[in-house]
Amino acid sequence: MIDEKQIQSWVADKTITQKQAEKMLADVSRSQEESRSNKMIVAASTVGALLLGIGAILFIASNWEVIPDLIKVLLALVCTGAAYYLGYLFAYGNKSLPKVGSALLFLGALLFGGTIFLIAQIYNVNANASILVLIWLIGILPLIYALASVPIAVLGVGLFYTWLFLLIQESSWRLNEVTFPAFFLFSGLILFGLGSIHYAWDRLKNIARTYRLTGIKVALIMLFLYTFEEFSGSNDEVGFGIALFGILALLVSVVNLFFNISKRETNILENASIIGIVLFTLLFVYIPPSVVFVVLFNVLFAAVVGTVLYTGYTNEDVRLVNTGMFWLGVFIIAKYFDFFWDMLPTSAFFMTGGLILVLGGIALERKRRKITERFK
Amino acid sequence: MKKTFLYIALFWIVIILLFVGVKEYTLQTGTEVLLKTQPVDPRDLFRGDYVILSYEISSLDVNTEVRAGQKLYVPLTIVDGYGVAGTPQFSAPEGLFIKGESQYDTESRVRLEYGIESYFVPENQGRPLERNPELEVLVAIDSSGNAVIKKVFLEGEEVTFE
Repeated sequence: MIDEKQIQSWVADKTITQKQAEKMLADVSRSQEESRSNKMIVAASTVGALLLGIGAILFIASNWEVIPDLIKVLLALVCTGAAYYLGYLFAYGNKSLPKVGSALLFLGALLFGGTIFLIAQIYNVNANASILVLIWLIGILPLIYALASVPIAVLGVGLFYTWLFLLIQESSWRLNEVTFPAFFLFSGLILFGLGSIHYAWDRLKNIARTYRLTGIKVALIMLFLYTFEEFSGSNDEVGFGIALFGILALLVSVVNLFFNISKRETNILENASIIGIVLFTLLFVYIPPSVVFVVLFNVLFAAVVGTVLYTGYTNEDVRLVNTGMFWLGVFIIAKYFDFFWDMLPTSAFFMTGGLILVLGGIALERKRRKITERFK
Repeated sequence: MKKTFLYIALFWIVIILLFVGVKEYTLQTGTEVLLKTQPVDPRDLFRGDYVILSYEISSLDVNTEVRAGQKLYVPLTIVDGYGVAGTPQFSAPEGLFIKGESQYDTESRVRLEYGIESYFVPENQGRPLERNPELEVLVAIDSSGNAVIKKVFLEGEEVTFE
């Protein structure tokens, strides 16, 4: 990003004239203004659409018994259709209000889900049925890919994980404190890998990034759980399902490793790390439990956070750096509590902890800003 | 792009029509059976108040090993106007039957869900139903054993909400 310092240095080197420098500065300023304005419009429209969608869903949830069921369904369909059509018109038809159009399309995706749940209510379909969330997800998948829309992709990922949770509750799978994190860890790594594969299509690069970032976050949460002794219990009842899921994560990583679809410098590091994590976790899940694994998971988690930070720094990815910094902070605080809660008197514990938090927080924030400044 | 939007709209309409169609098929063509229940009332944020229904046919004796998640077919006979369950089987029997899913591994008594365990009520109106466990539910059961709730009765009178 060109800034004032750079422009002035070009003037000093006589690369450009002062008049040209003033024009460039004005253009840079206008472009920054426009970018800020665009972001505000997107944020306001998306929040507005979200509130409207939540309002519609809560409206349905209030069981408005006065209106006949058929009319309720028609109302829901009309609202969904209207949001969808207006969204198309503003964003792709006459293109008069593209940001508002995108927000309306997001609203349409939410209202489609509202319609599904309304119909389920009318027919008294079992509450929390995972099939309803799956139908909603299947319905919006074409929209995610046709529009390459990040908000709808985020909704899709949210629905995917909601569906998984409900499916586990309904099914005969018996996930315990060992297999539950493994299942979702592998799901996060698979999502990351699938995201990388999406880089094969240039128009889907924002979807790719959404999937990768979400996958990393889910994987980090599950790895973090494994750093605690409470998640290293017995693994007597582990079936082959977890292994299959792990193998799927391995396959996706191997494909990305050899074909480097994401075209990233850190491709080997990313996918070799994933393969290592999967193999180590499978070992942990299937062999008798030992406290050694807890120690090794702590080391692994620290290494993964370091990898995330390194990858973020190398790819100049602010969000990755922020994610890495966040988890570094959480890890330090959690381990401080874990180790010192019983060892120190309560007052010393809180005073020392507070000091570390304040000083550590300042240091981490300075480091984060330094790194992200370099990207500008 | 216009065609893409049109196809997606058609896709959504097909999904909704299929969903409605499957349930309407059971309601319109299914055999009506009255079942006795025992309700409990939770709150579901996304779909309003609903009453959890547990039936007399929800917990049945079996004489073989049943795994959680396994589909079972329960023959029904009408006795004194109510559906009474026979022994659950692994394949669809002749005559009237209802399809359920086992909730636990068992070798003696199986807990089954039939997809009719929720009844939606207006906000805060589930309590009277909860406090009166003598609910009876009229369900429609189609030829594949799928059931949909048609009406709910409390002490012999149909439950309606103003």
